[in-house]
Amino acid sequence: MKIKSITFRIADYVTQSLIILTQFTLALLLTACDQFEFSPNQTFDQTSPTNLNAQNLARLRGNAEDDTVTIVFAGDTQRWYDEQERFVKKVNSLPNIDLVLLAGDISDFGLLQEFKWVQKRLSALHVPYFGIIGNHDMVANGARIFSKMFGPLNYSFVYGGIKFIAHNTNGLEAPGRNIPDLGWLARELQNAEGARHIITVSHVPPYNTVEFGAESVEPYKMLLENTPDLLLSLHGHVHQHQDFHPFSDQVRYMTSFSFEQSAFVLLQIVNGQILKSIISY
Amino acid sequence: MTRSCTLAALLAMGAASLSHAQSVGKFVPDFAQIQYAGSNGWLGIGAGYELLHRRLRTQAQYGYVPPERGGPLHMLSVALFYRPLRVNSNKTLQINPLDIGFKGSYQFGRDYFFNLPSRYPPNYYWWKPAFRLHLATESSVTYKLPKTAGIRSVTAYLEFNTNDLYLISYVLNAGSLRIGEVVKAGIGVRVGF
Repeated sequence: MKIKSITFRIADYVTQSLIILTQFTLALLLTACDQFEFSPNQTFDQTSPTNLNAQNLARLRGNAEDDTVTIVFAGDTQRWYDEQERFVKKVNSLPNIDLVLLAGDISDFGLLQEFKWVQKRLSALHVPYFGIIGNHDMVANGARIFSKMFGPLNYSFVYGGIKFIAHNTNGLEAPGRNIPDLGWLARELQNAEGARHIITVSHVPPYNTVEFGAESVEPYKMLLENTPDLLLSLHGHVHQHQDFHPFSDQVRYMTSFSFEQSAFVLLQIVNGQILKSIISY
Repeated sequence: MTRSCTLAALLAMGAASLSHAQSVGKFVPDFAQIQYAGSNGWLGIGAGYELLHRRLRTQAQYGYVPPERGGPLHMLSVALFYRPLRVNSNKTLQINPLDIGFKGSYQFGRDYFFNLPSRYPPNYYWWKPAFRLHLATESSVTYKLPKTAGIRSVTAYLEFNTNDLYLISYVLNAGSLRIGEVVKAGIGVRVGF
């Protein structure tokens, strides 16, 4: 009788150990698959990339520069993942592209997973892409996630004789936090590198007064107006392609399509001349 | 400072309610649990009650994500699970193949608004970054201990969850987003009293 119950006990322990082992294996498998989430708002996880803009700049530097700089100008990837895959296929099918500019609203809710989903898809691009922060990327923990994944919110680089000045213009998201940073922008626009031309890229255009930050509009507009080598001021946010002179000065403002519209703007720049085409995908 | 105060207050409240509960027998929780991940903290601690012959389980959990794991984040969740099926392999072992439940989680912190701050135009952002509604499943193995053991049972569980915002992203992009991208996991141990 006693022996029988001990046998049962042992059988129990074996079953128990087997189940624990199965769960443990499953757990390990899941860890490998990056399934364990601590919070939708966490700043990073084990597999989230870092410093993408710097890495992509290094890739761009590997290009042989010629007299034409060809830019894919897009923005507002937010929540349109099917479209991102088609976008990548289209861009990869075009010859001689130098870089992709992504003018903000990479995410919709400012969540880490969204940034990862977008990055996973755009990482299939054959050319480097540059992320610029949008207002949706600043919701919740978004600004920290962006800066961990892409790098500084304001940055610049020179390629093919053009100085690209990417910066944060989402003033409404953080009142009192010096957005846009006009002092930084003024210094960058002085063009210490001596680039032939300048292109500024940011998310909210200054003519969207409330979202840009009303008190910054006039000084920002003046800064750009007083930069003779400025070719273009590029923006996202409005989810439609615009190309005009809203302040009736010589500064040409241009906005990107959103991914929802399955189209992007292709800019070919030769000696300061801009050839623009609209590409659907 | 504010955060550590919030944490201290939460812990104090928890301790106070526990000690109070022990003096008033019927308020003692039916179980306490410790959880890894599951979208509610790197580590979470919780407690709750079982109702309707243990078919329903309600629980509250506090979770913390330390800075080196993507925090610091403090959150609190409340969940309700239903157990449609249980398998008793013998007197000491019970398996819950798939409990289903809802979970509401609150994210503490100034960066996560519950009501849209007044500086925005009305309905500028339609969702609440401070509050997520999760859909969850739980599979578990429970060992029932003898009466002399002092505790009733020990349960090991594996939980899957997705939330309202992931689900919206998935439904609108079912061709591109995979289910594995929107479903997240957690594991835990629950002790029944």
